[in-house]
Amino acid sequence: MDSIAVKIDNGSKEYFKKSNRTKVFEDLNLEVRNNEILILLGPSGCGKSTLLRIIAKLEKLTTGTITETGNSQIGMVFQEPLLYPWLTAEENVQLGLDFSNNSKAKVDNNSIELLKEFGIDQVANSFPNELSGGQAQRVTFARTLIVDPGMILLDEPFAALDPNTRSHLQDWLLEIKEKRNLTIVLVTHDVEEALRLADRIVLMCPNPSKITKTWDISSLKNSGEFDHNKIKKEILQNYGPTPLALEELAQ
Amino acid sequence: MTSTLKKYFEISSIKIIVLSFVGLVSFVGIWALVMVFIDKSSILSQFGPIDGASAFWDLMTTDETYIHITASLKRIVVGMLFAIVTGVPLGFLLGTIKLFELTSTAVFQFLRMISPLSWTPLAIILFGVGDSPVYFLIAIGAIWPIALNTAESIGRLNRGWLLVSKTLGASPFESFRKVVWPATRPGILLGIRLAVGLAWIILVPAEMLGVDSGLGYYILDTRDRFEYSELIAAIIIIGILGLILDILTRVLLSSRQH
Repeated sequence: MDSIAVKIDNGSKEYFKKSNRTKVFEDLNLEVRNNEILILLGPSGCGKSTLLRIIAKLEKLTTGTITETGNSQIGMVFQEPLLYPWLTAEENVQLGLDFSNNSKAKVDNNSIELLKEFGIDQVANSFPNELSGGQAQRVTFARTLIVDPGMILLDEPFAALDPNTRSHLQDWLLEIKEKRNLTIVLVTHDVEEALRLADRIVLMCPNPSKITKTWDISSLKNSGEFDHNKIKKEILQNYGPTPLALEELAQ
Repeated sequence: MTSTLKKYFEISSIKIIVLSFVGLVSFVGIWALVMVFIDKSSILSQFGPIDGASAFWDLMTTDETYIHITASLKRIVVGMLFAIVTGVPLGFLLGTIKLFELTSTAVFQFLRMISPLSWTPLAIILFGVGDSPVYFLIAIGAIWPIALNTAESIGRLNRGWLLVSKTLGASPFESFRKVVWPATRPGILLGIRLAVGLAWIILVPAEMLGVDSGLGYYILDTRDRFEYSELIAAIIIIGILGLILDILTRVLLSSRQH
């Protein structure tokens, strides 16, 4: 069995605002295995992004436990690139190492190497408003990966991109995952993206938020039982009655 | 304004300088033309640009003028320092603590709308005569643009940037130094620039109260001596220094922003 990177047991999350209590999810159990791409799939409002922020330690569970094995840092990439507009692409990438108190020479060398590796060294001195959507997202990945995290959490990182750039970056993500032995948790509501990238797919649904079903795509592929259309249909049937899912199912 | 002109009309810097010079010369020409129609026996006839320019050159060669200029600039610097030291933290509090913003906005808007010179009697009761009430009047006028621009820049801060710094392992202090400060700096600097302009406007009337140096004092002095051409020269000096101060703050306080 693959080793576990993160484990959530009986996790629940609630928000309290004034006298209102909003329950995001409850009794949630989830495992993230080392070196896998786990896709959290589901429509808006099912708690995917909240779950990601909990794994990133940006928020805490209301009840339940989260266990992280290993001491490696966790990086996170958001839907928007969130690059700092007063810094150049290279300075944005260097920022992660600045926070880790590295020497300037090491910071300079690492950032240039990474920019070259990601094919964006030609825009090293450009400011974020001068970058295309794809370039900006690559710079964001470089900024996240420069501190050499063992796990990265991606919150719909390609949602704002055009289909061509998205497809290109999906291939590129698979490449860097293999090269760097990364564990990746990716949130999306795009079924095709999930099927293309996933080792495992966890489908979540809202009202009340819960995990509906899990597909072990890697195992299915390894055993030769992976049928793209069949699994897509299963996912859409369990996805919930969103207009997009119903339309795709009808097709 | 200059950058806006350049951007929308694609006018080169040299053209802008030439056009500004033409505007200035036209203004002086119209001023001189108006003076032609004024009766020579009238006091107003002494307020012409030619007499003023002549007195200006005379003043610029006397040490006393520089004593007044230095006194005025010192008061601007000290008053502005007080305004910055209190205005920036106040702006941060307004921008970060919602309850403080809600409870204090009405009070601050009320105080902001009071002309700084209205505080003069209180300033003299509190600080006596001399430089201190002038510092107070400058600070009380300059604090609002600094505090409100700081608060606004905090309000516009993208909260996602703070999440990113947190995920990159930044401590709260590092997040402030590397994210909050550079993100809010343009707003703070804009507030300081506006405040410098306001402080310069407050300075001259404030120096007409109980001080014996400075350009405001000098205006009153020339009036008392019936030296109206020197009065015009002093006004020209105030205008030129105000212009230089504005250019200097623009250059020194400009920040790289994209």
